Amino acid sequence: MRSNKDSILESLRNCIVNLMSEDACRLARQAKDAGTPTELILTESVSAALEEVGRKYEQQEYFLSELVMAGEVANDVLKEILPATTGEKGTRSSGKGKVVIGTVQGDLHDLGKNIVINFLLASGLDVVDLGVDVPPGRFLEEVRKNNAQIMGLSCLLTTCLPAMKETIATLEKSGLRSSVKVIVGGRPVTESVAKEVGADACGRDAADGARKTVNLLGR
Amino acid sequence: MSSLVRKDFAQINRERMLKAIAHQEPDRPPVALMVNAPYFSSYVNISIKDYYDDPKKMFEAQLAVRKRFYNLTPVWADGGVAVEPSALGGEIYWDTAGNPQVRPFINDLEDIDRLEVPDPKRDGWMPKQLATYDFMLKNVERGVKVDFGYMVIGPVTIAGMIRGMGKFMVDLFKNPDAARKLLRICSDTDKVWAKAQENMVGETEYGVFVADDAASFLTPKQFKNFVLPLYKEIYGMFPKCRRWYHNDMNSTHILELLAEAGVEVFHIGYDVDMISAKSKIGDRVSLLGNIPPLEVLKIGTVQTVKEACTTLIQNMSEEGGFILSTGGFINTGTPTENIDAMIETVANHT
Repeated sequence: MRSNKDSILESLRNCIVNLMSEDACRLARQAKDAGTPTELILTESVSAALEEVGRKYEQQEYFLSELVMAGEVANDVLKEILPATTGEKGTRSSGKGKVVIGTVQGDLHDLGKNIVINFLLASGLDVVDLGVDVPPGRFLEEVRKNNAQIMGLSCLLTTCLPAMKETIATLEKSGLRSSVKVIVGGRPVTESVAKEVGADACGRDAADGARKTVNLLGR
Repeated sequence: MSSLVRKDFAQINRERMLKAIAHQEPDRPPVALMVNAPYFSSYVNISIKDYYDDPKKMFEAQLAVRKRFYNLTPVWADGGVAVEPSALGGEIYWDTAGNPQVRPFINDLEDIDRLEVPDPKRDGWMPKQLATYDFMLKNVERGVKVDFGYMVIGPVTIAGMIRGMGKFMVDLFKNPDAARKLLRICSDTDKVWAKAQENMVGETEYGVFVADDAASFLTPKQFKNFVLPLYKEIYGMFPKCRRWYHNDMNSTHILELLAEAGVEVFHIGYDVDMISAKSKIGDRVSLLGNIPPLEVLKIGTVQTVKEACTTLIQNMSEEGGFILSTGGFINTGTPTENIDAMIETVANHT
């Protein structure tokens, strides 16, 4: 027989999938008040919901605005269950792995990157968001400063793919490449482009990117 | 220059294009070269910033590309994506690649109430663009017929730029009235800007051209409720004009709605299945595309470009309504022989 806690977690998951922010936050508070461990809320409800949303997006049942909204609802829930430590820049410290992420130099698009960040946070990872139009040197500096295991590069414009390659080359030259995995994503980024620019993995979309990031960390 | 392309090809191509848009099958399919600032500026070795800053340099760059590619490329006062957002109050800055951009400035929903429909003679980059049109009109080479269209960035893209795309997407769910209000003012901005261009350049055979890639981010229901009526209004202001539309994101889910909005010629993205698009809306909308600009036209070979073009032509030409082009703008560094290969495929297609 399912417990009340299980039932709340399932309802919470459904609310996130159905993009119902207020109900999701109420259920998250309820789960927390009932003594449900934060980790369990994260894995059973938030992460599982975003997996489901990602699946719906891949199957074109959901579209980009819904993917963004699902990330927003998940973020609202994270604020309920982790109120003091999660901010826009993603500074939660879970110790599960740290990702430095940004949109490469010359590209100002942040929509895809921001969706991925919400998915990464929901997977329990620490994220340092460098924003958009980030020069290679800044990526390197932040990877070093934060002791990050993953560098995530986003790009929408085909004209900025060389910047992606240059960023990875900069990491290579610094001698840090062997200790930092690189994942790339964005509309023009295919498996072959990822290989060409020297990345370790390529995220087809936000859910796939988060999944592969976790895999790169060897979890 | 290709010896396989006749000197009068632009005129022949234009006639084929008119026939194709009328959903009649021309003897051969027409071709359109979709080029913008990065390619134009790099072709004449100037920075993108110089291209935007100096009307003379912009004009010369566009004419140089036009001359190289058989008079097939357009000439217009190119403001990139900055014109309408700047006119609404956005601050222009140059990104590291040299493109003009506008920072989001609608931080709170109350800021939307403070927005005003711009005055094209006064606000943002609109006066600069009108001056560029004026310069171009006065300096068009004798004997060169240049037909300017009325170009606008569509309401969803403007709203996303000035609010921040992610925030605007969330507004559609959490604050739909505010999102609607924002889209309304963006659409009204488009209308005054298109009208100002009409007043400057006069009647055009080309038509009104709406570029709104971000519309693909919406669900079909959102598009229908929030955007479709606005497109109808913009196109409805110019009943004698052709109604062009550019959106090179994946628009598969809103194709029917774009037809309903009155789109007549659609510059369609490379990841839309053209056969499926033709079967859905090909009887009402002419499809312009959709050779992948990066994976085929830029990094392909002459042979692979010709093969991709031939396959597309075979799938799409019947009963007209098709113009061969790239599914997006031509990338900087695309080999000229690959662009020639696309044109030659049409010139030689039997």
